[in-house]
Amino acid sequence: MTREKYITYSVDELLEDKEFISFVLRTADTDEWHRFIDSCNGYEQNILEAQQIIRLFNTPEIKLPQQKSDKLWANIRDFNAESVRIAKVRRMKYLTWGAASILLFVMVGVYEYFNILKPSTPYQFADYKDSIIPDVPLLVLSSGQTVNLSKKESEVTVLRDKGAFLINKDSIINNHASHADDEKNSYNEIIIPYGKKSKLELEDGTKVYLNAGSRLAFPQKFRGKKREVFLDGEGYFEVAKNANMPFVVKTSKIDIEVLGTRFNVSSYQGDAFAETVLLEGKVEVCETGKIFSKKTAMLPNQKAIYSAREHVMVLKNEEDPALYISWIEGWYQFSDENIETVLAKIERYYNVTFKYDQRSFVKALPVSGKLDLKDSIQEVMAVLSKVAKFKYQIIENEVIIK
Amino acid sequence: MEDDKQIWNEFKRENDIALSCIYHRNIDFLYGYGRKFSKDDSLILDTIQDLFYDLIRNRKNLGATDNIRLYLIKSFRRRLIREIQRSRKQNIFQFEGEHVDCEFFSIEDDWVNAETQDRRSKYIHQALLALNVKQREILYYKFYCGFDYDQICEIMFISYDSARQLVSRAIQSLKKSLTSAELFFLFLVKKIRL
Repeated sequence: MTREKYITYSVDELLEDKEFISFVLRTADTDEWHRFIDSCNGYEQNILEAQQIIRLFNTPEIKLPQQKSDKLWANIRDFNAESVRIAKVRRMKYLTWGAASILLFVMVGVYEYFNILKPSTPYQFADYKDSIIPDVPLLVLSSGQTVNLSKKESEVTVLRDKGAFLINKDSIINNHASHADDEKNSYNEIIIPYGKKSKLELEDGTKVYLNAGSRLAFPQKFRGKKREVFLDGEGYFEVAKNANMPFVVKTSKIDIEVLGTRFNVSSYQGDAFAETVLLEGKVEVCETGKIFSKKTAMLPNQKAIYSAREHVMVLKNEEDPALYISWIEGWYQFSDENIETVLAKIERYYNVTFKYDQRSFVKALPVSGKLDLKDSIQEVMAVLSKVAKFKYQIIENEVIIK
Repeated sequence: MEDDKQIWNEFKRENDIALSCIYHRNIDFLYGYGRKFSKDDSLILDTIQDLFYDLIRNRKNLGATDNIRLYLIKSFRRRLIREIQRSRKQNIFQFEGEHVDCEFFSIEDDWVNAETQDRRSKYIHQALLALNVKQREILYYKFYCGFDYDQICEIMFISYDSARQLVSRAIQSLKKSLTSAELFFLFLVKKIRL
């Protein structure tokens, strides 16, 4: 018997041997086990000790009472039957309504045609690079006035019908912009540098959490048929419901149109991908600036990834969408992510630059884990280098990966 | 397991028998696992129900798996923790100032089963006191579920290295707590067997 080899093992070795563990689990208290112990001829000390440790965890199950189990199963079975039935009905409907959908298609076509007549102009974020101090979060009013938000985690609230803002819950800033007709000038901008974040409440009650390295342009008051804001970077939106006035987030890559819902958008100009994760409600995502661009409808717990290079939108299910907004709470959890994506995010949080040879990551496996963003960059790198198995060196704001 | 893969695919094809099979093969395990986290039966059962409802809702888009139990446990653990934290938050509102920790895998109640008086239970209780919650949890996966390190890492969201370290520290503490008194117990067990 090959099991005889176990008598030469230490306790630790036995406890790392998967076959030994399953042997113990399988034969607990059976004759087979006792025969095995007898066959050890007095050398069974380690085996018994390892078995004792394994069996500590092998306590008898508390069984779910049959009645409760049956009731739970009845619920699940009914839910299943109902959902299968609905799916079948839906398939039938597609068949009978085929003709109607052609009509609908024509109507949509006409609608799209009229849309051509008024192509939307992409918003241009003003270039403040020369005029501002780097690393300071700023609110730039439509009047041209700039306000330093100063805090690492700032808060801005648009005060309704007052033409004013509440900053960090303690000071009020008036926006003296003449409410000119020129729509472009009537946008305020909030600029969050790397290493900072901000929470913003818009005039309609919509809440926006802006992540590091992001900018958002928004009006003092929403006018017209849609509530439009412009984003470069990452933001989590809790949109106030207003069925008459859809809310649209426009970015350089994609537009997201909603009625009232919660979702996260990450669309940095420098990134090759733009990502939308829907937590609640319903949204439609489409490529920016294309008149016939296909609208992708998203359901809760889905992620839409848009690749700017290939101009393709891919829809994926996301078991735990909350992962994507964990940055609001100050930690970052990632599951099966490309190491370069993870590094790009850390760059923004900590305002550091990574230097590495891209070729060395070609074969790297996707990584999963959780980082506490309150930790220093040193601590974060120590953890990450272990997971992704690389060596690194930190020199001021540069991290060199070997 | 080929079997698991097949059942899973059948489930995705709306085969009711496959769903029944998944439920009945795992319900006792899931319930027992839930009890390690919380003693609130209705919370556990609600979470199991939600887990299955979502499987049914999303079945067309579920990924493939060759280990259904692992698939279930991963999703179930995350949901459980979320639900427990949610219910704790509400409790904090009720009893202000009372500090509540997340005692996953607490060693009270059914971990040390009904006959608390017998020698083995006392012994287990003593030994498990030497471990912290994370250590108890990881050894449960290793020695009760028989999962390997890769699977454990997926469940607990930790790296391979930290999993190894967690296990090795836990085993060292357990060995330490198996003092001479316990060796006597070992000896007893052996005697009876002979």
